[in-house]
Amino acid sequence: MNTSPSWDDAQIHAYVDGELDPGAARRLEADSRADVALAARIARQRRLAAVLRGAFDAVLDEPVPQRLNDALTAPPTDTMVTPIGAAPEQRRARPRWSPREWSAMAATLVLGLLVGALAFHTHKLPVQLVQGRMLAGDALARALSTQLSGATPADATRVGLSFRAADGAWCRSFSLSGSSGLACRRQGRWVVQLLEASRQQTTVNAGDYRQAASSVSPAMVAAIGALGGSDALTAEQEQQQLRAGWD
Amino acid sequence: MEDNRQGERSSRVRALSDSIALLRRTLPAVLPRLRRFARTLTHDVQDADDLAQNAIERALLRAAQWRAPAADATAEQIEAAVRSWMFGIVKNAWIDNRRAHRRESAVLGGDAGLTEVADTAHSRVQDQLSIVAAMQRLPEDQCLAVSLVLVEGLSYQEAADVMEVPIGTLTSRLSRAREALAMLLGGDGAP
Repeated sequence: MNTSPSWDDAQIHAYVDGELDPGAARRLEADSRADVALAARIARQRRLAAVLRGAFDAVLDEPVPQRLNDALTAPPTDTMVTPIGAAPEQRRARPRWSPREWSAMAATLVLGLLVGALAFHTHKLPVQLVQGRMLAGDALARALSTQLSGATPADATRVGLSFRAADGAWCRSFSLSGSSGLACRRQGRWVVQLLEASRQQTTVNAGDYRQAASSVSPAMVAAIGALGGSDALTAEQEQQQLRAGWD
Repeated sequence: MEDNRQGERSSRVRALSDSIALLRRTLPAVLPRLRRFARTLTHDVQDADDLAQNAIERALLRAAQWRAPAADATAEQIEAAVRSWMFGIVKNAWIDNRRAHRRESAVLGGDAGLTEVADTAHSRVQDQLSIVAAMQRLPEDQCLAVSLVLVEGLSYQEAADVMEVPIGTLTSRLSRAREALAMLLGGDGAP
């Protein structure tokens, strides 16, 4: 056993993947506190995993297409196996991608891209990954739960507008230093649907976001569209939700 | 003796219909993650759902091959067992499908290899590739390893089981995939 072990990539990967044995993990953590280069190697692997999950997580919130539910309940027969992408006429029979799905996909791509850009250039993200989902970090979650749209508190997290998604979830846009995005309340947590690097200091005022669309990024418009958003909540309706806790 | 055999057979039939019922009951809970897994492999939404649908159909046809967990398994364990089994079916369906496509394009005289080279050259011009595009450039084995461990959060053992390879093979594929992704994403700067 080496007194100052040099950690190889395989060990760092195993650590990040939760596969390093607890003793070695503790030693690695201790070493990384004293070794900036080692800490950076670990951080890089964590960022890669975060970017990956960020890019594909949104799939979990998409409604499951009816044809998959139908496949579940269909009686099994020997002739029903659908060849993938092999029968164009069969596919045409199914509804093609609706604008809603397009925008959802666009939002997913943008999310992956922008989280990528953010993750590789900043160390602090306003989000946290919990079981592979991107959730608002503590400060952001607090702002989303307690702030009225348009208020500018000291910590500079602004909530832009609130609306109700087609599936019933409450959603709010936000902006903070360096990034802005959209989060929806699901199962008592703020799930980040969109996160992008701010291009400039734009403020999204409460009001009709369709009118305000010019000051909102195309990705945000697409994400709101994908969620099938209602009209923005009035200040009164917001107050009511602040009291109700958004659940 | 005859009675005994008869009894055995009917209990086997019962066990099979129970396990198919269990499979059908559990699949809806697994579907969102099945779709996500398919999406990491096939980035077109329709293709990914085709893949998921194909896997469901294969699963129901082959339900007899599924080993249901023990009777005292928790709901979570049952879900994990169904998930692993389904991931394996998605993987096989995906690989079969890619082979069929390669054969098809070879028959049609298309040269997939050339397109790929051109794509890669083009990508170098860009500073940063989206993670989705980067995933598409990984070899099949590496893409699977990344999907299962980094996106789906499976343990090394679970992922190796799904891929039907030893753990060492899985971790070395994962390692190569990480290097490739870091390079493609342009985020591999020195610390």
